[in-house]
Amino acid sequence: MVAQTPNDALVRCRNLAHEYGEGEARVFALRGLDLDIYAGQLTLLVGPSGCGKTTLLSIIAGILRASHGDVTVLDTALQTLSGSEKTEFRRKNVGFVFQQYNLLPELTAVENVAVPLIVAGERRSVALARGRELLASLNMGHRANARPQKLSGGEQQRVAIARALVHHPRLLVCDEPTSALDERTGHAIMELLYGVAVDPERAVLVVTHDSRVFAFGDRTAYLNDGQVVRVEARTGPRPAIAPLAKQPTP
Amino acid sequence: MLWIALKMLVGNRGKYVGMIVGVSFAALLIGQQASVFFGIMWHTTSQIREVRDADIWVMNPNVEYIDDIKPLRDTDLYRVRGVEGVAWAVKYFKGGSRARLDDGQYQQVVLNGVDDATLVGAPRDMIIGSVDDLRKPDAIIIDDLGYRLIWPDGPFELGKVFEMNDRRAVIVGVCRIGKTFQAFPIIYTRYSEATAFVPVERKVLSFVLAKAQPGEDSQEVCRRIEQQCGLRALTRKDFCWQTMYTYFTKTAIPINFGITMLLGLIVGAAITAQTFYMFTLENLRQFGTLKALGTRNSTIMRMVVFQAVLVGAIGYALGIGLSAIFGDVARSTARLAFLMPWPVFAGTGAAVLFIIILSSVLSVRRVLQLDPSAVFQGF
Ligand SMILES: Nc1ncnc2c1ncn2[C@@H]1O[C@H](COP(=O)(O)OP(=O)(O)OP(=O)(O)O)[C@@H](O)[C@H]1O
Ligand SMILES: [Mg+2]
Repeated sequence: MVAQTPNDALVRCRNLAHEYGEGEARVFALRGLDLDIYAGQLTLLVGPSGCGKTTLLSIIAGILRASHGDVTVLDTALQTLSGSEKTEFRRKNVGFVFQQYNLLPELTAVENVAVPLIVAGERRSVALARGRELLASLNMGHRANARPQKLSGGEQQRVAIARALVHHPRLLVCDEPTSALDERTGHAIMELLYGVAVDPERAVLVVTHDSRVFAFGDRTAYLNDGQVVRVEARTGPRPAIAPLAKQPTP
Repeated sequence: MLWIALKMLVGNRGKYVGMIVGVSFAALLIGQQASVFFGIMWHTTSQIREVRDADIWVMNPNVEYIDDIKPLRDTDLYRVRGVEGVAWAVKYFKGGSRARLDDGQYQQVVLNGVDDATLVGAPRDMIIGSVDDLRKPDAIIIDDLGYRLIWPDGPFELGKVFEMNDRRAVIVGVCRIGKTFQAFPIIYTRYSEATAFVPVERKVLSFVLAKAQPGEDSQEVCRRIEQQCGLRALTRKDFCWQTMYTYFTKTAIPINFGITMLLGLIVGAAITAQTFYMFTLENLRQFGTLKALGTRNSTIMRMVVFQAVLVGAIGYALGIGLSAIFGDVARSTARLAFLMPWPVFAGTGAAVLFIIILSSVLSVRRVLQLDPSAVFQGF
C-alpha cells in the first residue's frame, strides 16, 4: 500500500487562486484551493462546467502560472520556475492526454508516440522503436503506421496515452479523456489508463465530468466555483481490469 | 524536430501546394514589376548604348542626361582632340525635328547626326539598306519602330521620302535599335545633313564622341578632358547611370512606374504574409501541443522559420523563374521594357523571405506565450 500522508504528496496545492483578465472582464477561476495528489493513485477531478478544472490542471502541469498561492510538484515549487525551466520540467515529468487527443495529423501513430522522446533529444530511430514497442503493448501495433484521421476516437486516445507515457513521466494529466468517446470506448480507455498508467511512482490526474467513469477514481476531488468542496477516497474495490501487458520499464 | 516541421508542412498536400502557389504568385508579381521598372530605366539609356565605337561622351557642363541638349562650341572638338590620351574625337548631333509627311501631317522625330567622315555613332543592326548609303545626298536611316509609326502597313521599302525643315530626306536604310524611352522615330544622318534638317538656331554641336588611346583608362581620360576643357566628360557607362539617375530623380514618369513596382511589392507581400500567417495559425494547436510536451521556444521558432524558408525558397524560385520566362517572351515578341539585373532577383528574394519569416514569427507568438486554451481545446 502506498503511503498517503500529506508529506509525500506528489502534487501539493496550497491556497491556490487564479484569475483571468483584468478589471471589468476579470474572471476568478480558482479561489484559494488546497489539494494533494499522491503517487500510485488515479485522482479524479470532477465538477460542473466552468468550475476551474482545466485551469487547475494547467497550473499543476506547469502550463499556466497561478495568480496566487503555492503549487509544489515533485518537490519543485512551480511558481519559482522561469518559462524555460517550466518547459524543461514538463518535458521530463509530465505526460498529457487531451480530450481532442491533439495528435499531430501529419504524423503517423508511432511518430506521434515518439514525439516526447524526440523533444528530449533522443535519436529518431530509437524513439520510433520505443514508440512501436509501446503501441504493441497497448494492442495498437497493427495501427502504428496509420495517420490519426484514419483511426477511430478510441484508437486515437490509445495513441495519445502511449505518447503521454513513452518518456515515463512521474505525473500524468488527462483533461476529459473520455468525453469525446462513447460509453464502451470511454470505459476501455479508463481501463487502459488504470492498467498501464497507474504505477507506484506515478500520480495520475484525470479531469472529467463524465459520471460513467467516476468508479475508476482512487480518490475523487469535487470542485465547485474554484474551490475543492469535498475529497472522497473510493470505498469499494477497484473495477475489474482486463489484464494488459505493462509498459516496458526503461 | 525539423523532420516534424517538414512533415507538418508537406503532409497536407493541398495546403502546401496552395502556399507555394501563393508565394510564387507574389514573387512573380514583385519580380515582374521590378523588371518592368528597370526595363524602363534602361530604355532611357538606349541612345547612349547604341553608340558603340566611342567610349567617351563630352558635353556641355550643364547636361544631365542624353536628351538634355545644351550646345558646345565648334572649337571644343579641337580642344578635346588635343587632350592627352584621346585617340580620336568626332562631332555628334542630337536634336528634335519635325517630319512633314506626304499627307501633310507632321511627326516629331529624334535626329542623330553622325560624323561625316567616319560615320561614328551610326546604327549597326540594319534590317535593310546599308550604313554606307548615308554618304548619299539627303540620305537618312530610320529605326524600324519609327518606320512603322509613320507607315504601319506593307514591307519595309527604301526610297521613301519626307521633309524636315523644308528639305527632302530619303530613306536609305531601316535599322533595329534598342527601344527608347520616348516613342518618336529615330533618324540617323550625317552631321552636315542633320544641321540642315533643323532650323538655323539649332545648328549646334551637341556632343563630342571620343575614344581613349589603347592602354589609357577612359575614366582618367574623362578627368583630363574636364580639367583642360572645362567640359563635362563621361564614360559610356557613367553617362548611362547619370541619365537613369536624372530620369529617376527629376521626372515623374519613372516615379509612376516606381509606384507600380511598389504596388506589386505590397500586393505580393500581402499575399505572402496572408498565406503563411494562416498556415501557422492553423497549426497553432499543434505547436501548442509540442510546447506543452516540453519543446523549447527556440526550437518552435526554428521549426516555423524552417517551414517559412522552405516555402519561401520554392515559391520564390518558381515565381522568379516564371517572371523571367514572361519577360523573355514579352521582350522578344513586343519589345516591352523588361530588364532583370541581379538586384531584381536578390531584392525579390529578400522581400519574399523577409515577409514570410516576419509573418510566421508574428503568428507563432501566441504559441510562445502558451495559452492553455490553445492546447486543451484540441485541433
Ligand atoms: N483564457 C481564459 N480567459 C478568460 N477566462 C477564462 C479563460 N479560460 C477559462 N476561463 C474562465 O475560467 C473559468 C474556469 O474555466 P475552466 O476552463 O478551468 O473550467 P472547466 O472546469 O475546465 O470547464 P469545462 O468543464 O467546461 O471544461 C470559466 O469561467 C472560464 O470561462
Ligand atoms: Mg475544461
